[in-house]
Amino acid sequence: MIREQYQFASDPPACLGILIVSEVRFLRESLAEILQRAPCIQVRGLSATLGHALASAATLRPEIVLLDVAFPGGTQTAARLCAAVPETSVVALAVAETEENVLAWAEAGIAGYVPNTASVDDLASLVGQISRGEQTCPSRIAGSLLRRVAASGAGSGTAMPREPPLTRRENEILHLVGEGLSNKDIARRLSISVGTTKSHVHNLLGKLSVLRRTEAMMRVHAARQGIDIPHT
Amino acid sequence: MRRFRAVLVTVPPLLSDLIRHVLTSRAALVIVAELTDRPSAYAPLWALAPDVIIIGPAGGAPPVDAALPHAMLPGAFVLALSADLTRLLGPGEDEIEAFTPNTLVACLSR
Repeated sequence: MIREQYQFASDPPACLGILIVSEVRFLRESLAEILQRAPCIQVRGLSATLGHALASAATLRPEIVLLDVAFPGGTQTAARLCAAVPETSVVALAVAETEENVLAWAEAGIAGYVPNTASVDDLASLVGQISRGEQTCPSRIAGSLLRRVAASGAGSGTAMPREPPLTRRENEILHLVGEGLSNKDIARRLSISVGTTKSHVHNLLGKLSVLRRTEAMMRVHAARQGIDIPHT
Repeated sequence: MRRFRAVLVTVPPLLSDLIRHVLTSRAALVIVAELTDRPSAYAPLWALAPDVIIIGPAGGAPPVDAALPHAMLPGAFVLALSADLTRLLGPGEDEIEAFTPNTLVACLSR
């Protein structure tokens, strides 16, 4: 039987919590075995499917999701994880360091990547660096990233937005949250399921970098006083 | 204590690194070579005469036939990984196990 999830309760709480996501059981288990030897890493769970990964990330609240790049869906899977648990850093494991490839993963929203040329010996330190907001990469990759950022900002003539924009639906739900409606009421008002509503609320809270609905409500009130909330 | 000598054939880089870690920490085994070129894998295997041969998936290319290294080196313990990396095949024709660190170590400890 595939053991998809286990915890190492004896690790100290200050450790960097990691969820390993890979279809390959050997990879999941051997990575866990190697990473848990590192002093400040706590492997919180192992996932073989996207559904399990999304559920585990939501409940185990790891600081890092280590995603095998060979996982089905690739960058789309990374984007889904990033959207579902915005407070968690998704790190792509074993990325081929071509400019196109790194840009594709970066645009999916990953916090960093471990190149496919990295030794497993360096894995813990690379993940630690990424968790501190650092990324070691070849200068040609850094150049490509800079050019891409410049190109994406060129049309607007403005700096990059501080937060990812809300979709129209999320904006609509945000305003209903602002009116004090519950998920059930919002679902009824928009003729969508409560589950879908919860998912939208979860995503918009993440995009607004707030933890509670009350904080989101405050944002709505601020917006009504003239502060624009961006949407796509 | 004698450490058994292993050769990895066509095992992808990350996987070979992980196998090396698992085997060196949990089994009395040292990986003496990693052969990545399928067509020319047989001659070095003959020369190295390892105790253990682990054959990885071959991607889209024709895989190394596990039977041939076995015939070349009858004393060698030959294992092959399934294409989807879920199963460990061998050393006997009917021996198939889930590919995990535990089963790999257990298999080599027999």
